[in-house]
Amino acid sequence: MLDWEEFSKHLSQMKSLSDELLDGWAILGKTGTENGAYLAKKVPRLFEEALLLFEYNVVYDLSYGVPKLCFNVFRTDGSMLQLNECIHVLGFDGEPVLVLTQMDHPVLQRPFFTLHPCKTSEFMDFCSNSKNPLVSWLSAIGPTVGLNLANEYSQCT
Amino acid sequence: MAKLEETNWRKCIIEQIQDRNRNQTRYFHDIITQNNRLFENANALRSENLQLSIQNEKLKADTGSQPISNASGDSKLTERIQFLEQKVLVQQEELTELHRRKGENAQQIIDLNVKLQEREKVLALKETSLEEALSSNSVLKVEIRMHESNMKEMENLTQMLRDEHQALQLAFNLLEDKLRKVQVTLDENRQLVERLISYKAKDAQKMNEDNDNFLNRAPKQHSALTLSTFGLFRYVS
Amino acid sequence: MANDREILREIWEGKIPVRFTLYPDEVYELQQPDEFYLMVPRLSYFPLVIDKVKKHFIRYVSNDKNDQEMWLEYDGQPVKWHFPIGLLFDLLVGTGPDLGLPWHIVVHFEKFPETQIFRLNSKDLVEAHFMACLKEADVLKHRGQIVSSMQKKDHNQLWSGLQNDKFDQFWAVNRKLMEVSGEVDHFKYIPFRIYDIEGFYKQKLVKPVSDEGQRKTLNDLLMEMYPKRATSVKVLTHGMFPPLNTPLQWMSEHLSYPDNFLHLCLV
Repeated sequence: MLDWEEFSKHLSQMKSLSDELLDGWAILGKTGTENGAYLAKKVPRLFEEALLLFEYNVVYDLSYGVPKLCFNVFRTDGSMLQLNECIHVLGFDGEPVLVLTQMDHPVLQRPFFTLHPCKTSEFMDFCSNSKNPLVSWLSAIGPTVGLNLANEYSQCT
Repeated sequence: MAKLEETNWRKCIIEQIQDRNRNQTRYFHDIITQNNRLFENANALRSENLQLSIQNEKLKADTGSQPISNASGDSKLTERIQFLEQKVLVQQEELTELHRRKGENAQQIIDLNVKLQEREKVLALKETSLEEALSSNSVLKVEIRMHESNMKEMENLTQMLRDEHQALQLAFNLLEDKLRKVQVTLDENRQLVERLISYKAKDAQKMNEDNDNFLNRAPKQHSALTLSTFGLFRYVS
Repeated sequence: MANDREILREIWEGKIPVRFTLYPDEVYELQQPDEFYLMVPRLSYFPLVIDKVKKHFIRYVSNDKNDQEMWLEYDGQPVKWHFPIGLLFDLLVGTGPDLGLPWHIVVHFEKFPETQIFRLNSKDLVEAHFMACLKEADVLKHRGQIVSSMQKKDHNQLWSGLQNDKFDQFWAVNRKLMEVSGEVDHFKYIPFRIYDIEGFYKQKLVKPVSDEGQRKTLNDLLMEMYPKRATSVKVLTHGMFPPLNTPLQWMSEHLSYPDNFLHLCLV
């Protein structure tokens, strides 16, 4: 379990490394308020000859005390992909609604597809010997939704 | 002490919720349920109507495409068609009637809502006027009490005055009696005085007569002194 | 222990009269659709109660597009139907002498506002959302131990009790979530959300007792959330204003919505 201060710290550290690597992560929101800030990155990708924009946000869940990965996928006309379309694009198998659902983004309070935080706490314990458990966690679960972290990020952990 | 505090917030909460349930739920529940029941009936009738229309069309088409058969069969068919058409008409009328009633109910909901608000306003007004009446009532009661005590005082005073008056009246009567008696005495007195005077007058007259007689009888016997003396002592009546 | 049954019952019975109309621009038929009235339970969610509404209005819209996705709008804004109905009413209409009942909600079938509201077009999705809220509340109250120890049939009973408006069925299971374990007589943290005028909410880790062991009240919670403004602030929930000296633990046990959260609106 992380508290907000720790999360904030890990977030800043990851952002600094991202700046060095020109990886495009930004900290948005209000950094002063509790659970007021989050990490965001936009990734354009081609899928079946259509250009899609993946918006990834790393946010903090106050109740569980863990980070959450939220994302939305947009087409060039501004419309959003629905759950089944996301699953198709990401190549999920198994019962997605158990793992991936629409939830309120803690800061923006709009619908984002989110990986459930209930399993994350167990995972965070597993990562507790890392100096930046946030990066460790993200590097492990990110790829399931198309987010890959460069190997250089292992410097933080 | 803690129990009392507890019942206060709990009481406040339960009263607000009961008010809420009365104003937001109970007032509307029945009329909305009724409205929806009418809707469902209308829908059922509409689909029945549709089915009957289809049947009707089918029958019409069947009779149209069939070659001319025996007359009785024809007339039976036309009879059946007429009967079904009649039924459809009746259904359509019922349907229009239900539509109309639905509209009325919807209007009634809005009207009742307005009425409710007006009643609540009236009630609020009545409550304030009641409060005013009660307060003026208590003020008046105080005044009444004051007046009652004043009246009592007045009565006592009056009674006292009456008693005095009565006493004075008695005294007056006694005095009046006395006066009357005195007056009677005075009258008697006057009468006596008058009699006395008349007697004295008679006496004077007699004396004078006696004097005259005396003088006339023996005028030479008396001296001039006696004459003048008698003349000085002529009795005046 | 949530043992004040009278309060629980009265809260459960809360229903709001709603007048649904179809967005006029979407009417395709010549005949104008009638308005549709419905009593909706405060403790439920809109996607669960509007089947009849959809059936009533759908034949008046163009069926060019298949799967017309229904959504609701109030006062020009899409209704966030992942919130409980009572919370939405408190937020959007509030309280006062003239609530303008029935509550007028406009029904749309076109241009679903996908960036603003959740897609809850199946009951399973609503159930998943409800259960997620329930789990989160339990994590705050009991570190998640009670929900995880429940069987699937308990979860189903909670959901079916809520869906079918069965108070006893729901509370037979929910009372377990309101229990306090042996050593302490209070929850770890109170699950709550405070909503401002715009509808944005804040959460914070708040204990129901102070460090000295005193039972905290609603006033204490407001002081922790808004240290500068607490005295002028009033809190609206379930269409009423709980007094500021109401104990937090009692509020969480009795005034929570079925998702086990207190949803408090700032006024």
